Formats: sequence, C-alpha cells, structure tokens
Amino acid sequence: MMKRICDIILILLVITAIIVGGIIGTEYIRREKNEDKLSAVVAQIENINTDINDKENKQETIKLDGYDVEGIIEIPKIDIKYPIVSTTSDEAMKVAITKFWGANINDIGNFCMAGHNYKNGTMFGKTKYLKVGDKIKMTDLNLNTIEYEIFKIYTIDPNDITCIESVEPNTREITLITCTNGHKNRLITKAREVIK
Amino acid sequence: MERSTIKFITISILLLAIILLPNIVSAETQNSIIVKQSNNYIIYNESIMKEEFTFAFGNSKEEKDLIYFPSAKAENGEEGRNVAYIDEETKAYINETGDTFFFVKNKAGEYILEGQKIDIKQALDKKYVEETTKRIKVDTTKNNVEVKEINGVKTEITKGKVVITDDTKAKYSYILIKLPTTGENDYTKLMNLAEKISNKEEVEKLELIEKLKLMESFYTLYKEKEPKSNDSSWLPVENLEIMQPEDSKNEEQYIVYIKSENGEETTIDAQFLTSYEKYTPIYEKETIKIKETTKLPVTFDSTITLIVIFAIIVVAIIVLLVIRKKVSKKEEKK
Repeated sequence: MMKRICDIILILLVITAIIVGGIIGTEYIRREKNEDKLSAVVAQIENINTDINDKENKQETIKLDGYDVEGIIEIPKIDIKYPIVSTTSDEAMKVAITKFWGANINDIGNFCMAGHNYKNGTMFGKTKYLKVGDKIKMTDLNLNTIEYEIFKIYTIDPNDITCIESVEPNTREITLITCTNGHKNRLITKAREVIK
Repeated sequence: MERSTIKFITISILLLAIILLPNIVSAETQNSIIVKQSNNYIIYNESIMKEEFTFAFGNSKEEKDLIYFPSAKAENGEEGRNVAYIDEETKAYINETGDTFFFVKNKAGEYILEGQKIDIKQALDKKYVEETTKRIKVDTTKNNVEVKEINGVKTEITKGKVVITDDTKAKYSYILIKLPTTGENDYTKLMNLAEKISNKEEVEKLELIEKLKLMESFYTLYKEKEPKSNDSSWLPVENLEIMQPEDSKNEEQYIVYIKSENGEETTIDAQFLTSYEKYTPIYEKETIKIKETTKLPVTFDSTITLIVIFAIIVVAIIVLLVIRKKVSKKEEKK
C-alpha cells in the first residue's frame, strides 16, 4: 500500500518537475531571443537618419514589441547596450530597459530607468558590479550621446521613491533601478553628466 | 530775310501742324466716355457737360444732314451735368457695322464736337466693374495653418487662402497670377487700378469724369487680361480652397481669377490679394506628468523562484525514491 502511495506521489512530482523545468527552459530561450532583438533595435537606432531634410528616409519613431523606443543606454564596464522603452510595466520590463520617471533622454532633470536583475547577467543583472566613477552613455534618437558618471550607489526599500528626485537641480542625472535581495530591496545607481 | 528761309519756316510750321493735329483731335476724343446702362448708353464729355446741347450720329465725319436730339440731365448724383443719352430710338442712328461719328452743337447751333469717332462696343460697363470681386462669393479672411520642421524647430506656418463660399454645387477652377516684386506689367497696373477703385473714400473725392476714366481704365485692362473660359491654364479648385502661392512672401501681391461653371452658366471673377505669411516657432511645453508613484518596480528574476521549486521537487523525488526503496525492502523481508 505504502509503495503504491509513493509511486503516485513520485509520478506527480516528476510531472511537476517536467512542467517547471519546461517553463524555466522556455523563459531562458525567450531571453536569448530577446537579446538578439535588442541588439537589432540598437543597430537600427545607430543607423537612424537624423537628416531632417531627408524626409523620404526619415524614420519618425522606433518601436519594440509595440513600445516606443526613446534611446540607448550603454554601460561599457558591464558590457551592456540596450534600447530604452518609454513605459514601465511588467510586460515592458520583460522586453527591455524601461523609462520609469523623467522627461526625455538627456534632458535636464533625473531620468530614471528600471531593468530586471536577471541572474544570467542580462538587463540590469550586472549593475551590482558597478562602482562610483564608472561611466554610462545615454544616446537619444537624434544620436546625441551624453556620458554620465556614477556618483552614488545604495539600496532602498521598494516603497521609498525618493530616488526619482534630482540630487542637484538643473543638472542631467540618470538613475538605474533594479532588484536586490530577492525582491525585498532595490539597488539604486545614480550618475550625472560628465561636464567636459 | 531771304525768300528761301521764309519758305522753309512756312513748310516747317505746316508740317508741325499736320503732325500735331491728330493729337489735338484724339485729346478731345479721349474726353468722351461712353457708359453702358442696361440696354442704353450715356456719353459723357467734359467739353459739353456744362450747357445743354443737341447731338447727332453720322456715318462719316463730313456728314451734314443729320437728325439732332436734345441732351439729357445726368442722374444719380451727377445732377446738373448734360449728357447724350442714347436710348432705343437714338441707337437706331448708330452704325453697328461701320464707324459712328458723334456731332454736338450748342444752343446757338455751333459745333462743339464735329464728327468725333465713337464705338459703343467699347462702352464702360459700370455694373461689371462694381461687381468685380463680388460675382463669385469668397472669404479671403481665412488662413491655412500647417506645421513644418524648419532647421530643427517645429514651426507653425500661417498663410492666406481664398475660401469659396458661393454655390457649392458649381464646379470651380482658378488661375493664379503672381505679380512681380519689381518692375511693372499689365497685372501690376490692374492691381493698382483695383486698389484705387476699392478705396471708396478717395474715389468719391474724384470729379465725375476722373472717376469714369479710372473705371474705364480698369475695365479696359481687366477685359484685356481676363482669361477666356476655355483657357487651358484653369486649374480645378479642391475643397473650395485656393492657397496663396507656395513661395509667396509677406506683402507680395497676386491676382486669382476664379471661374464658376454651373450647367450652362459660366461666371469669371477675380480677387486682388496680398500674400500673408507668418512663421511661429512652437516651443513644446514640457508637460510634467503627475504620476502617482508609490512603489519602485519589481525587477527581480522570477525564474529564480521556479528554479528553487524545481530543486525542491527534485529533492522530494530523491527522498521519495529512497523511502520507496526502504518500503520495498521491508515488503521483501515479510
């Protein structure tokens, strides 16, 4: 009798393991494919026609899975280069880095972005390795690039939204937000424009 | 003085007289203005307006045996002036196929005008002049607004346009003539005359003959420059709107001829316009979105939870396998 019960539970567990394993595998395959898509969008932005007089070839907007793309974030230290989409939502964050707060890329003010802390190191998965003084490049759709330097890295509670405020008024700032300590805290990385 | 010198001077004077004579005559001719009034005509002439007179029409300048009619008093604010009124009866004496000559005698029976050539086909149609710009109803106060990017700046461009407010069932077409910014041609002359006529205050100050001369100049030139209804240059009017020339600058002038075709009826009118153009850069207001942000987004790797569950299941399977083995052994011992 006991052996029979063990067999039934075992079968159920194996089935569950196959399902969970399948979900995990599918998610990793999706992420791999998404990485290729992101690289393609970055290339598309970099080849954008910024000549306002060339109306025939001028591209008005760039979309990524239906989301408007606003520009590119590049962090050479951790070797990432991603497009930034204009909306933050659970679905949008599965696709790319998202704009969480702020005006336009490279405008005066604080431009906040959110990205998943993926364990495979994609998205903001490697921002934990960044240090104060590291550089971040932000490029808008007119291909204007501004370099920012990290000046503050800290952890906060998810309910603490003070990170969206500018540290210094009338300067260009960016803020990277990602999870840390599971989803209990948020790792905040703040950078400001490098004035040359 | 020698005889040959006197001869030379005499011949010279005679020659000069021959050359100048037609000019003197034509100067008088210019003073006669024939105005069309319904089916009748009125002849105005500065030199005959002050006193009553009699007038006649002949087929040649030398004709003597003519029937004379009395002059009439002008009406409609022209009281006190004497004019030659040509009604149906008088019109019968006008040669419609050949030349007509106008004879005027004063009360004493002396010629004031003797055989002045006239042509009633060239008569000034005052009504036509007064109705010009009003035959086809339009609104020229409307503007066309479009937004373009100029040197990277979004700019609102406001330009004038003509909106046809006439019978919308008719078919409309137009010819747009842009006037040169420098120099003068017939169209600039026409525009100047139209501007003078439209200035009612100034026109009212003019003497009657001056006023008629102004209208006549406009009418003659207008008729000369008016496109024929079958001209190939007519362009169709779209959405009852005619835009001012694309490349026109502020204060540049243009004439728009508008043709309306409604069945058998064709009407041609003109508008004398000045380009209007205004460029307004659009400074996009920075809109601060008031977003209720109470929590930072969840960005942890959700697959970690699944991996943990997967690991627990694997451990559970192993544990169960061990238990199952022990249970099997126990059962074998029994």
